Amino acid sequence: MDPAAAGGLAVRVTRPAPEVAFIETSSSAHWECFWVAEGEHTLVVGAFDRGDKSTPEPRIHVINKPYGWDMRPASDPPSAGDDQDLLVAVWQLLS
Amino acid sequence: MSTTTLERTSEPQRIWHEGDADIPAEFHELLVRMLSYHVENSANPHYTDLLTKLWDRCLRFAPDEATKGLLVKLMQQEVEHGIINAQILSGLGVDHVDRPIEQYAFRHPMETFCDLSYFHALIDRVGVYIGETWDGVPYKPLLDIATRVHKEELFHCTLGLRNLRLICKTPEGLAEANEKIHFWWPAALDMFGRSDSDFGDAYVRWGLRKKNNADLRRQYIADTRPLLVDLGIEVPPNRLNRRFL
Repeated sequence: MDPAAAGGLAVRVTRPAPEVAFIETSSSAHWECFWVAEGEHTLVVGAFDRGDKSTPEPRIHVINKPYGWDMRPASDPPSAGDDQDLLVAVWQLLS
Repeated sequence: MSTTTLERTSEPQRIWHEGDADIPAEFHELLVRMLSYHVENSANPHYTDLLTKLWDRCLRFAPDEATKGLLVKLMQQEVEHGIINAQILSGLGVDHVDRPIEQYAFRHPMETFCDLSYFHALIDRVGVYIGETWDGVPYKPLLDIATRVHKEELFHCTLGLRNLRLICKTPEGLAEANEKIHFWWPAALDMFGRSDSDFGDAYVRWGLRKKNNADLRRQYIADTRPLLVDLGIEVPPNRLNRRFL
């Protein structure tokens, strides 16, 4: 089983730079990816869910960076928990 | 007892819209039954009572401000889910439901952050499997909201698991989790109902559900038990303390 799976939900995060993350999440019924970039005052989040018939287009969100936003993983190398934390934070931002 | 695996077919089928005069009577009856029994329903005052209790626990038990913000987002979505369900029911001619929430998991006193986290990690997770798997149902109002609601339920149970992980980092927290799993694990499995439910099979036959109660419960166990074990939680046997089999 994927170590980051959450109830059939797998989470994979790639962090090419401290301010950038690519998140892929999938289950048997769902696949979605996010791309997050952090600036000084702004976050940009790209999102694409190929199974979402109600919103089939990729989306870009430009968001005022929430107070206290921190996308750095707590551990090195990042743990499955760090990946889950980032996914939950992005879901909170976009929903 | 029903042991056959029933799954929705992939054949094209008629999709009914709100107000269609030719919705089959059995399908209409099953839709109303399913949505009336669904816990999230702002037309049911018992759901409002439940939300009030949960808001209180989320605001009082959150161990830090970041977690509180996440729980507030979760609660906002729970309110919206109730409104959506009430609106869809209204479109089927049902404007008010006064149905006490039957599942005993919702009546359990939530005394600590551990209880609240189990509620989200295990009870909300059931909604991912049985309550809100509407992505293929032949009724347009449900189809329109299916993806959004399903993803929000994924958020809720993933947040619950994240919070359980925080709890299990300390020996005291892990001890509490190991004590309370003896209530929350059987309560979650009982949420799926009886394995021999005729309604479960009827829901599958009309495309309202992908699998029957027993199959969904098996999938839930296979997915969820390893997540708890990974946190160090000693999960009891699946049949221990169960009220419905």
